[in-house]
Amino acid sequence: MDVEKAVKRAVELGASEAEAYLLNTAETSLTLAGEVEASKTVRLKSFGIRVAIGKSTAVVGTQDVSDTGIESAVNSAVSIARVSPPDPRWVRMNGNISVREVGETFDKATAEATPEDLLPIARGLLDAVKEGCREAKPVRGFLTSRALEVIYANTYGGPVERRETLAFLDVEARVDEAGEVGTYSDYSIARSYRKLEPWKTGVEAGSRAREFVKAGAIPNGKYGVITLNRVSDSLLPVMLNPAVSALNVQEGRSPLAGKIGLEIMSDNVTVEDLGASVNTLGSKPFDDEGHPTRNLTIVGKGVLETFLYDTYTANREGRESTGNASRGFSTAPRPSPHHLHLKPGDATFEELLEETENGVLVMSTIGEWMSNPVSGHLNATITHAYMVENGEIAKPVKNGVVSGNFYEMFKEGLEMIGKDTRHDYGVSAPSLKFRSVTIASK
Amino acid sequence: MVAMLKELAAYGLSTAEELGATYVEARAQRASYELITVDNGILKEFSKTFSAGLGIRVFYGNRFGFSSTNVLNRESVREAVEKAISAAKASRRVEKLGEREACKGVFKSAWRKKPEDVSDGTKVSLTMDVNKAGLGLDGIKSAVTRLGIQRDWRYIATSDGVDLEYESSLLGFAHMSVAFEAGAMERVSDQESAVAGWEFIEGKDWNQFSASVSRLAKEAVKAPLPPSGRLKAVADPEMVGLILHEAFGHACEGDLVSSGDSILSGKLGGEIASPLVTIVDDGLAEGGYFVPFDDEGSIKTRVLAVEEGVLKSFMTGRETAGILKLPVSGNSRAQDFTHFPIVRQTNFFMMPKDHGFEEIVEEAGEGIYIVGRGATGGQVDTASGTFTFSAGPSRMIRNGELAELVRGVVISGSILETLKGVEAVGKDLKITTSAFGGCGKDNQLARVGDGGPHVMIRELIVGGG
Repeated sequence: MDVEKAVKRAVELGASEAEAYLLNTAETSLTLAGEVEASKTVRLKSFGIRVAIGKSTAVVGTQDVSDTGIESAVNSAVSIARVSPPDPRWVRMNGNISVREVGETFDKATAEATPEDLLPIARGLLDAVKEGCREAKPVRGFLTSRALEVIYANTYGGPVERRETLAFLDVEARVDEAGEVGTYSDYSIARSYRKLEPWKTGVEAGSRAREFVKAGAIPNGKYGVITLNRVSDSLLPVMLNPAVSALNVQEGRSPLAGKIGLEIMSDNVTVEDLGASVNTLGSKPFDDEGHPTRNLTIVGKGVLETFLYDTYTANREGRESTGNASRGFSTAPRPSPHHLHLKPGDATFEELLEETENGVLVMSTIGEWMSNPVSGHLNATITHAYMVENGEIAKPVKNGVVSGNFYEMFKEGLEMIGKDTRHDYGVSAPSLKFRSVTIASK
Repeated sequence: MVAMLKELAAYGLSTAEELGATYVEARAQRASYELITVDNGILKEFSKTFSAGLGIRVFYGNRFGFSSTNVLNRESVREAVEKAISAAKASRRVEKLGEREACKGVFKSAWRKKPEDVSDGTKVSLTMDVNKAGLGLDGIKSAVTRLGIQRDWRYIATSDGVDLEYESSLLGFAHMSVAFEAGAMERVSDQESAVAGWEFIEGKDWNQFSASVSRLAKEAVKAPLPPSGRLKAVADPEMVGLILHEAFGHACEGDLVSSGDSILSGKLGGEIASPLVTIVDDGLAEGGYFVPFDDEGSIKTRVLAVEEGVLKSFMTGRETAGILKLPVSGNSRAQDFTHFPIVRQTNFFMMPKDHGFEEIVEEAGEGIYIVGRGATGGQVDTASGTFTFSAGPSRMIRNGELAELVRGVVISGSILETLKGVEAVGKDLKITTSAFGGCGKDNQLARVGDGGPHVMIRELIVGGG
């Protein structure tokens, strides 16, 4: 049963509105240790149906995509909606179904890659670790190629179809020297597996791993802190994605509620959501409600300009969706950025360093996702960093917790913005320099 | 459905053998997850997810390859077998698989009242009530309540004679409250789950549960951050579970040990913890998750990882057991039929000793009592040995007594130092699991359980204000 038929079937069964979402996933991946440890190829079809009866809604997802499987999912959704209490804020599903031009997001070779196609890249990556440092061992890594296809329709239109491919690799290197251990990992992401950078990634992991054999402790205190671009990429979405969701704003869970038009960050900060950009990982022609995407300025020169809306949250405020609906196949949509982009400044990485008298260059963190986007309190545990003294990298260090209010850091605390943007899936940002950041350590 | 899945699994086995595989595992799964979300008094989502499919792993030319399908016919299973063989050709050679007995059997987790026999309307109105109870306190700005119900049926047949299946039921409530006072906001979330039937839901006052989360949020919003730096810590059973799981459990996973990605590689037989510390992994521990056998068809055995401070064993699957020359412990688990099994913890916990809680706090003197309620999780870098986790609202310890509440507590430490620094172990034992989250590794999520007694640790790094 295709998505249009499923929508019709739901209406026949008594739904006043229905939307169907079909997700086809194809993935080939290699797990790496010192060599290719295991590999797999997976094809998966997932189907979701959301129905409304008046203002009562329900969602059912199934991975049994036979006609009887879908029929039973549609039945189940309608019967749940019948017993669901109405949501007084429900207006209707998205009525603006169309497609934005975002360039090519699909690479056939990546969609069809077999484990053997990926082997040379995996071997290149493992060899590169040794090139970075002869004593380095690649201890853990992945190489994955993935294709996603979404087909969407609802009572008001469709079907619309989008597809994208994605390839990523990462590797962790380890060096043992006189009873001490140094590690480092790096990654690469692209639309096509042929555009990955195994050599650069492996060399970086191997050579840094050796440097971190001698990593010392960071003395407890306050420092000028530089976050390497990839660390900026990991911190921004943790704090901003939930805070700029109109749902969290409306439900009283965002520290940005009531702050539209106010300066929430330093005036050199501009943050965009690139929903409809060409060559941007995360941009897509339409969102998970079939609504066309767009590029939006969320924070313009420090001033909060907008939140991100799906149809439900937009209807609550009598406005148009910003095309930011995001969902899994069996969950209701919620607003979320497609690609959070912090605009680069004009400082080179060397200039960020030069301006740091006594500081810490943070290369890698874990646990940043445990920060609190409701209170705005940021935490990240440093696994790899360098002390910076008089504008120069002095020595490798590890183990310390970066802690502080995210918005204070980006307002009073932000000193310089680099121009070395790193593009990851769903986010891109340059290296950043903050003044007086608390690091808890030994 | 079950009969058809078993028939397709048998077809997968024979097809793979015909095509030259020397060993084959066919895993079938049928699972469902129900989630009811009530957000600020309104039913925001009632979703049900059903999945069914087949995963095939072949051992071909001494190499493993995996593929899966959820298109349930013979043609598609044959295609999956061919893809698994193609994947094997890209994988490393495995010289020796750990031996295990090929068992047959049917397992079922305990339940009295099937959750699917309870009407949707009853589930919705109960969740609405629990949310209302959480919202009903002054100063609570936002409250989200979730009811999660998981059913999982797994079947595995292998070419060497394994024929095992289990059915399990896991369910629970989760609640988050956001308190607002004087311009500051704080959230606290908590969940309680059990491997059980609907009787677990009926046996508890859930309105009391959500109201107490709200009371804690109200108290926490006024609380200061803890001082930054090194502190002596007393951890409650939930925190002990989280620390052990992150700080030690992952490093005991045989695959990480054999690849050198664990700081415990080569340390078997060594003293790696205080002599007060004994740690086990048990697939059927009370309060924990239900893992009678793993996704390679090995019966899960109890692993004694640490005995009185000495590292005794690692958790293994067949491949890592072969490499490490250890027994197969039945820890090779897959998130679902679309993933191949990797070495995972099941219920990983510390065994109790002799101290009472008050006694531990008194002995600690000055420090922090870190509490698991409201914690959001943890993460570890197994190779370097650095771990981190967040605690819920916690209390400072002053003069041997619990003192003021602190919020935003983040702990970091190094694996070996932390376990060597265990100075007292309580006589209580609590193990918990969750129907809402789990442990992530290699892009796979697994339900786990963890816990222990109250424990005193010489020092941890606390990130605060």
